[in-house]
Amino acid sequence: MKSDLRGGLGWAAFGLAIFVESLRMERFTSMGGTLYTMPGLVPGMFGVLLIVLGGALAWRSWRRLQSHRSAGADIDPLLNRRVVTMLVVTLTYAIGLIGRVPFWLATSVFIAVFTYLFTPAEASRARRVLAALASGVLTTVVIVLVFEQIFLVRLP
Amino acid sequence: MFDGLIAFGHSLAHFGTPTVIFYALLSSLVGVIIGALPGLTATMGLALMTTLTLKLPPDQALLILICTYVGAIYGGSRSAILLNIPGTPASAASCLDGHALARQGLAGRAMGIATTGSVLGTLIGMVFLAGFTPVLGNMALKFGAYEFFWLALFGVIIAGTLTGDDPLKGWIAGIAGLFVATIGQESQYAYERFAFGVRDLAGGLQLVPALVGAFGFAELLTAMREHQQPVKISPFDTVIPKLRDVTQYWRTILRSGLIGTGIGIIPGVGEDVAAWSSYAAAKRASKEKEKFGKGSIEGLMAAETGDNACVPGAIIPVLTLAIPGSAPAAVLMAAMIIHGIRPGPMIMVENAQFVYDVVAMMLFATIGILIYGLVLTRLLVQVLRVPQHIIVPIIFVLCAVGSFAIAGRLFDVYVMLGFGLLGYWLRHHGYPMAPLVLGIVLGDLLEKNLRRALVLSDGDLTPFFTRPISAAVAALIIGTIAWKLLSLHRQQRRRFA
Repeated sequence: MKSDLRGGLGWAAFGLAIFVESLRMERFTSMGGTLYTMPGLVPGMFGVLLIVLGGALAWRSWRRLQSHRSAGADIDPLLNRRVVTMLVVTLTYAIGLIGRVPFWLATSVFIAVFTYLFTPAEASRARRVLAALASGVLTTVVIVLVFEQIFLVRLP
Repeated sequence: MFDGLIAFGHSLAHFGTPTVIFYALLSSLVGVIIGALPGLTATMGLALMTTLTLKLPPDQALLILICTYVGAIYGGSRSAILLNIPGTPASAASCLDGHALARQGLAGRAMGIATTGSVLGTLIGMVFLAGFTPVLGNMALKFGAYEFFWLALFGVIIAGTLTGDDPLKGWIAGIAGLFVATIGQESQYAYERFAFGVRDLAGGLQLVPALVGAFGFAELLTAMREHQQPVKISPFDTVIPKLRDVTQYWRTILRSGLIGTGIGIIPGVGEDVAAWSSYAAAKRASKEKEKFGKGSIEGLMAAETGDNACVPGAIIPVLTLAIPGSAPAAVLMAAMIIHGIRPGPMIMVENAQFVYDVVAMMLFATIGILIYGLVLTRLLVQVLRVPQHIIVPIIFVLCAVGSFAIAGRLFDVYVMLGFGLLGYWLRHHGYPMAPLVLGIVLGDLLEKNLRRALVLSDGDLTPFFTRPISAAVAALIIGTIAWKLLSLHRQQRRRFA
């Protein structure tokens, strides 16, 4: 429940930031703008709603924590080794490789590395490397063909 | 009535070409595979297919998307029955009796029941799609800014209330989605909001990369969190359904079809609620209540009929009100807009034929799932054996390429990544995704109509509560919130008692 308390406070803070930014927006009164036409009206309302709902979430979790009855019912950690590995590989591909090296090369390398890292370790190293390389090359060929030749979609 | 039939005939004739039939069969197959693979949902499938079909003519692109949608909702039953893991959230109710039947050595019969229920459910929904859309379309012509504001809000609130375990988190996700829709230039003064000088943000966030991230990347992260368990597929008998199962449970089929379609029409609810509601109604009305959860043919039939009937139902408000009935329907609506089709009250005036085109597309999708359900089952279940480490990187590449393809800019790939991380965090902390999507899709409609209504009434809030339809929708929203808060309060009191 601690995560809900933190989450609720986070949402309330986010709502406050939206509200403050909405208040700072241009109101166009010189162009005949009124309260109802100002660009910050609707996001400002969403900001207020987030403050209220986030506050309610935080208050509820705080009450539950106070009761000491559900203190042990918190969720698993957000990140584990598998998620971190996946994030490193996918973000490197999407931010570091796409658009900087040829698509076919970036994609082949990404798929091969990903497949290698997540293939269960029971298989021999040579077999894992071979399977990863084959998967990388074959998948890239199919993706390039399907996107560029059949659906005429531009690749990065 | 006859005009509608003639228009439907035109649509069937228009789509009856080898290319279109090929697309329909292929995309139904893709849908079934996406649905069957645990962790991949119909919403994600639709978001990815939207990017893949950008360059196709609108009718072919939408045919592919509708076939994928129907196929994915149906496909979820495969893994629900064989692995006891719902392929999509819509198939969760099918696990109860479907897998119980599989454990009794009746997996084939269960899959036959699922196919029958899904086909009949889609057909029942299709009849309502054809018959009810023109009626609702004409009614919607009377809606003004006040009504559209409330309807948009209703979609987000109801999705927040019904699609997760905690309505408070559902509402937060919905409001966050509505906020996301305000990023970029607003419509009245072209004023840049929350862009902070970033040129790409000034144009607003593209819907499809955001959805691909929230559903695609986030789902992949969630799926890869744990080691994949070795897949043990139950052996199965014949998948050809018995006629007796249909005749014996015709009341259940009809009831579930009506419930599924009705829930589909309610903005923002979706297939999982339709399946559970149909299942619960079937259990209440059944003479064999004790069999439910232990391998009830009736229970499985109800769940499968309900979730697939919801698909055409969810498209009805998309076409008539431009308000999606479910998260996948929200993506479908976005795709319609990308392809230059303007869903909303004017559709029956400007483009009535399109409504019947959609009905025809639904029929092609139904034929697709019937074929795959009866003929290719043994081959299709092999897909369940494909390991995660092969599927996941491929889907991630599709997420990245699809996001880039929308406008040819890398910024959209980063948007996809951002929403993926946000979606993963939200899922992990128990926030439902459907209200977020509904919020992003409906944000623009809500804001435009709220500001228009306030200008029209010069700030007077009375018309929001005195116009009959406005008052009814407002009462529904307030009633929903009050009912949920009351039940939460009771729960809390019981917990502390």
